[in-house]
Amino acid sequence: MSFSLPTDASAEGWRIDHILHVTHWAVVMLAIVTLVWLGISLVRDRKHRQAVFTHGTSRREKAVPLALAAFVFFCVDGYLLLRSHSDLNASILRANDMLKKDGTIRVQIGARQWAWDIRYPGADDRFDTADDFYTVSELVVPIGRPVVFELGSGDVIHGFYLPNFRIKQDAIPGRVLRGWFQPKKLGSYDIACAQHCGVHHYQMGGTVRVVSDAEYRAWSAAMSLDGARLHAEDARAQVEEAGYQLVVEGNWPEAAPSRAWAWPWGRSVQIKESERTP
Amino acid sequence: MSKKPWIRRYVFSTDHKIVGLQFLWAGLLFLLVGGLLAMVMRWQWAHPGEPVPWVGNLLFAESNGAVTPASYTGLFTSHGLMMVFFAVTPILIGAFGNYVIPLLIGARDMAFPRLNMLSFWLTLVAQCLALASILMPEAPSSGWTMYAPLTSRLDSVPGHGQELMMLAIFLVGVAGIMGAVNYITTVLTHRAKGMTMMRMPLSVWGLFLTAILNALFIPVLAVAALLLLLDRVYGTHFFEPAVGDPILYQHLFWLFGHPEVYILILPVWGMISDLFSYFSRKPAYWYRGSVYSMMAICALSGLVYGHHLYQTGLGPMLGTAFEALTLAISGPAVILFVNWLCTLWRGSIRYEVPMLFAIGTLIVFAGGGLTGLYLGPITADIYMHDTLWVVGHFHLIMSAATLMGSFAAIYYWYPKMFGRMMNERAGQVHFVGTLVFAILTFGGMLVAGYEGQGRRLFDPFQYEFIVHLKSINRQTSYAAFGMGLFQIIFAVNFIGSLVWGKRASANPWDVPSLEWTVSSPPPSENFAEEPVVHNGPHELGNPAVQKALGKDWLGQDEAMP
Repeated sequence: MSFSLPTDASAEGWRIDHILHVTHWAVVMLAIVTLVWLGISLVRDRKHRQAVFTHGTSRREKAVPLALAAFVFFCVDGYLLLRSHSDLNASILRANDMLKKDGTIRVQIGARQWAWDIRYPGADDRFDTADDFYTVSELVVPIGRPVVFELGSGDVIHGFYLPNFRIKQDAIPGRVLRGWFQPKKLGSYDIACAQHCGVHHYQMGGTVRVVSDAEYRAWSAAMSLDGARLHAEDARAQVEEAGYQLVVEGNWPEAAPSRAWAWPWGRSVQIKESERTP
Repeated sequence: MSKKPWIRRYVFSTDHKIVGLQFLWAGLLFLLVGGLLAMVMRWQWAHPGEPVPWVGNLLFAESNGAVTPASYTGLFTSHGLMMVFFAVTPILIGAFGNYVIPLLIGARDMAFPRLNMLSFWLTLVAQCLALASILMPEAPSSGWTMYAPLTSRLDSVPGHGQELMMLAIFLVGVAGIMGAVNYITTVLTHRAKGMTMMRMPLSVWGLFLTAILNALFIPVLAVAALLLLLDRVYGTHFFEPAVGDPILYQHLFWLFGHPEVYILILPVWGMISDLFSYFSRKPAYWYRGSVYSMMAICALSGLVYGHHLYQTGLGPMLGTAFEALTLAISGPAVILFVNWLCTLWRGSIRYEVPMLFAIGTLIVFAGGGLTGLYLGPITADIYMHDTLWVVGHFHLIMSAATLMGSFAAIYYWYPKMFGRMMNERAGQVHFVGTLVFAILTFGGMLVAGYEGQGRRLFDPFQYEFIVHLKSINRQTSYAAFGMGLFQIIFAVNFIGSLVWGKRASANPWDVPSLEWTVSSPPPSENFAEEPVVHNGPHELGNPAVQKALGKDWLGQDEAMP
């Protein structure tokens, strides 16, 4: 037992760690005050002693609880609220801005029972083209570049959880939610599912592999070629298999593009109008 | 009254005392069921995949006595639902609400005795359904939150156990509304002469405010359960994506679910506020401040539920509003808490067993409140959400604090209920064991959660980042077993004292409130004539009274000399 957070592999993870550590200070301070106060009351005043008679209703007596409440409310709560608000605006909700930056990696993650289907846009950096490629439960990302993910679910609600990147986002059927992180340490890290999603919830793990830029380029080029070949074979079959279309609309942080992406695994494949089989 | 047949007096009774005791027995029985489920569940985290000792072959015959992934989902679902709806609620609200409200306000019975009886029997039906549901070959396995579309479809959560359980929750909700209407009416209309609202013991305030929350929010739960049942059984699409909305369910569930925490803890707050006063022989510090704080928390309780939905893509504006309101709850909570500490300060403390449990409640409640600070801010919650930190936090409040509060209340009112005292030494041992092991159990969960361990995992050690937490999980499990074993002492004491307990006098604790003015146990219809109330409930340690009467307390029905 060490009571420490998992390794922080994300450039923005310190924000979460910071607010947790500040909370530690506040909590330890309040706990000490409480325990010392309680301890003195319990130890000093024993049965033989006459209790001090007061209803605690004088102005001065009421000031004690009121002052402490005000202190906790303004100092502790106030700091936590402002701090989290500024972190959200400065970084955590900035996924859409990251998309505008050069070098941002975009992936689409589809959760299903019990795996994570991950789609990359391929060499042209656009989804719904022939060189898109897929991985299952393995997210490969280069170090030092923002990764924007669009998250959806094909069946029930899952929780996309990257403990080492301080990321947790529910994957909700019918919605596409966007988030981002920026890896700062090479290595392999866990993807976990945070939301109970059925019997094998506990097995819905995966891996984030943070690799060097060169390695990422080589890997994605190879996968992209592979993707194009597979696409030519499978695309028609997939489209025919899927009988209906579903318009997926995101609502956070702003609406994701409404014809966003296709579920690679069946149930509700979204198809371009021109591609629909008659 | 005495002409009524035995069955109307003791079984289908409309006497609030009998109904209260029926709730108490039923609640304690299901506390046992819920507790045993937790023990089996903790075994799996201590020794994953190993056969459960003693009961393994009985419960999990196909897997040679080991918990299977499917049965594990059944265990945590049933444990949560059993405890929240069928154990803690009947004990705190059903038993104490019924038994003590009329006695404390000087009434002869509840406003609607027959509705009261119906409320208990409906609860019992619901309890039987719940028990049947977990004995089905496919027990409910959705998690106690029963999120859609996991639960609203048949493929992920199979079996009729789930439906039985949903029906049970609906019924217990209806019973809860009956009780709530009854409590509110009784408190508003049946108070004795002179018993103004601001002279009511704080226990009554806690139960009264709980009843208001119940009346407001249980209907929301009942509706959510019903819609879910319709989706599941009749194929409606309330919570289906593309037609309905799965998140709608979470809004409904938590609009009830968050107030539920206060529904369970408010009676405890009220009771321990009184106990601190009585057992430190001192008036409750700033009575009105405590009352207004509890009211403020009630008002806020329905406005903060959004913090359960931070990770669902809640709009940032809405999220921040919920965050601010959530953090604002600490204001009134601190006032209430500091009032307790100030009540104890410079009192003449009697370490009777009810007082020990009240102090224990204060400690674990402080732990629960402080660990909640980590979950309020949206950013901190990104990491903490759905981890064992959350589990440890809400168990400190909804399990440790509500149960220790219930024990305080049981030890305190037992003499009044059964006319006998519980064994003091056994009570002390029960207290020390429960407090120490509760802190170890839920503290262990907090540690594992802080390191990132998720909840509801059949085998958490699949994950690289959790694998080093095996030993803390095992220790936590053994602490939980310890806590379970210490409850045997309570069970023996509770039942044994019925027979061997010392006879209780009318007022064994020297307490001013009205229930202690009548014999133990009270006669039917409680008061021979309507009491007239002259004082607040906490006239203790008044030097003027001491001089005139030679005792340090003044009963609520005694005129100031």
